[in-house]
Amino acid sequence: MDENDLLRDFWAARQRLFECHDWGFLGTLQEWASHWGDPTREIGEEGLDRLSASTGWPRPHLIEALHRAFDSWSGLDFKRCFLRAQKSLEPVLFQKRHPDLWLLAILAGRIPALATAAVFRALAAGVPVVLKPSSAEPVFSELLVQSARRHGDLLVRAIHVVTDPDVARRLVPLAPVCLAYGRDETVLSIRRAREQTWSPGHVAYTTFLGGHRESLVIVFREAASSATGARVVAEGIARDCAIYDQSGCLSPHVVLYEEGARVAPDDFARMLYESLETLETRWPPATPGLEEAATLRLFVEESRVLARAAGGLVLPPRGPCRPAVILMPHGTYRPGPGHRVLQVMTFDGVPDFERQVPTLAGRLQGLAVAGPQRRLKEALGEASPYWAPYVCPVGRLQSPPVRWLENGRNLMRELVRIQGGVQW
Amino acid sequence: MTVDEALARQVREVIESGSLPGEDFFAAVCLAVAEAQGLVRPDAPGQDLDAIEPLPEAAFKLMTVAHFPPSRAQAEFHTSGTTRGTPGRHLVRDLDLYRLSVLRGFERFAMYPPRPVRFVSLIPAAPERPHSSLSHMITYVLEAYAGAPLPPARDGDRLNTPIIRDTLESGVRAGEPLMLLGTTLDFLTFFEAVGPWAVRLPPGSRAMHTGGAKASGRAVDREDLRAAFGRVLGVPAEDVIEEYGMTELMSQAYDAPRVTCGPRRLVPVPWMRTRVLDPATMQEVGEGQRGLLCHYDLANVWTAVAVLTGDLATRVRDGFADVERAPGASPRGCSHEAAQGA
Repeated sequence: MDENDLLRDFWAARQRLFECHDWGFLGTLQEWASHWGDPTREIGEEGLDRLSASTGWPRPHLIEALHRAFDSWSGLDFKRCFLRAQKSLEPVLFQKRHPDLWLLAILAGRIPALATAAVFRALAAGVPVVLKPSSAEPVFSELLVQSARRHGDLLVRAIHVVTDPDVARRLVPLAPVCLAYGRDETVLSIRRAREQTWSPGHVAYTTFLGGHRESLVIVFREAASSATGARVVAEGIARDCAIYDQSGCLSPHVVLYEEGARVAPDDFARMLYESLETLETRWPPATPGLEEAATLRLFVEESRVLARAAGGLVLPPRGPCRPAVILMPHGTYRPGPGHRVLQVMTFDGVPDFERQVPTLAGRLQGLAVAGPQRRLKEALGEASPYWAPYVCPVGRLQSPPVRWLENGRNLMRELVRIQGGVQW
Repeated sequence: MTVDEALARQVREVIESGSLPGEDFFAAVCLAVAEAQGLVRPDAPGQDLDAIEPLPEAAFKLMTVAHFPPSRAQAEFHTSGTTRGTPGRHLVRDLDLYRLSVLRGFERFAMYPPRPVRFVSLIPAAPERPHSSLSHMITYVLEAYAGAPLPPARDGDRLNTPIIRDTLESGVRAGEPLMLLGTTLDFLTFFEAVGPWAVRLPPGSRAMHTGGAKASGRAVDREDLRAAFGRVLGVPAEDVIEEYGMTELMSQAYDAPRVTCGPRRLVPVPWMRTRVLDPATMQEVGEGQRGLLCHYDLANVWTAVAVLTGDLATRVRDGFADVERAPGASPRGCSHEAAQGA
């Protein structure tokens, strides 16, 4: 199917969605999401096996990933959500002055939540969606459409999947709204392609870009004033790190730990490592490919050398290279290899962000904090490049609310505004 | 135990003997050196190479690796790859040991009969590149084997193509076998620069290239490269030798099919062992499988006898093949420092 066939086919879907988008439709969406609470029933054993092979995640890890992808949508009160977003939206929500609106979502990586966030946000706003899955993981989008088919004709016609990269490339300048994930070079080339083809009267409204971003954890000493408290913090960080094997923008790779807490940094590092080890069984990791494994091995062996020289600590001290915790007192973060390798840097009083995490300036997606919020405000100031669109307690990084500002923007709200012809 | 002159003398004797030490003997000497360098695992169950914790090559970037006072270093070799941070630094305690290792290896793998008498080097000499281990190596080789002074094959960073062509043509007229030395990228650049020009070098002529084209970002098909040697210079594929070396090592590996029969592969000199390790387990992979290269080089007696590299390769018999940089490790290669254009 080329882009002309696709768009012709899509036109009917847009028209139907235009006619049928109402609170009842939102209820259907919610019901659809809730069916994924039991993925085995929704996509079957074979579907789960295929998805497990495609993502690399063993079944328990995959089911947790699916749970996180749908959970926030199945329990969402759409009406409240929209009304809270903007009181005046209700009358314009279903007004649909732009029935030609549709979203092209170019996905990257293997996290199902990226696809579901794009699909549910778009459909909730009455906007059909074309998904271009990552070439590395095309199965989830396919299963999502199959699943939609079981929940009504309207749903399935409002979601199209394009796997041909050439077709997707030709759709980029045609899409009124484009959401693109990927490497910085990829998203920049998409932006350029859309800017170059833009002209007055062109329907392109906006482009949402998601390039390289990471997340950071800060533990203030108040949160580690007891072994029990520190262990709870460590377990939360480990969960955020282990799910998706650190492959998401909300995955933490580095923890800034304040010195002077009752729990010493090396004891905290041990707690982190024990927590990560525990999750090896609960959410078994994907097996890295050869190149990833090589990068991982080299990174950890280098860290062991550095730690010996700088009075740091690597857990485990020898042998396996993942999961791993690398403690470097007052160290500087080195972009990590993923696969559950956490770097812990200590600080005294106020973190020296520019020295300790220089590569994260303007690159933070999530910031998880253990300790008083006022300490965070004191540490960062107001205009710091180390503020993140999503700030949360530890353990909540990978469960952002539906309304969170991914990359600083809210796709659903902006789609509703465009749909309603709201000028902004 | 510390590294001392007695240990270094023992290593020198192994290299001088030129013969292939048995596995047990090699492991014993290697372990003695590793122990002196603090690289033996405290919980090591056996007395083989598994007991040694190799030093990652990045350690040469991150710190000073030397079991001697750095002020006593006779040379300081720098790695060429600088795309990720600072270059690596190898302090050389004993240049004579390096010369010995280089010449014994070169003699074994590159000087098979009929021995070439004329040499053409595209690589800058050591005085021009005092921090290049490759330039030192080539200078030692030329001092030992090349008779007449060499015409300048380079003009600064660029190859001097007309002079190289003239030198090769005069070699053809003399009818004596030639030895060409250069980086992989140098030769690619030269072949592109000469266009349709071609000669047939006298029988016995050979070429040794090194470094791949890792730093240039160019993909090198070795079959194509060997074909180009045949097409442009009349050098058969069997006489196209590849050398593998690292700034962090004092010894090399060679793909020299006239010396090492069987499938094409890089085979280390007798005083160096190379293992291809599964990065997940650090166990040796099986024949035909890929993994990280780990070198055990006795000539590294003053620095680190075992070096875990960022190179991925396939295990082939007593050597390895298809070397490429692991992603995340810094792209580098001698080609990066030597060739800038023609």
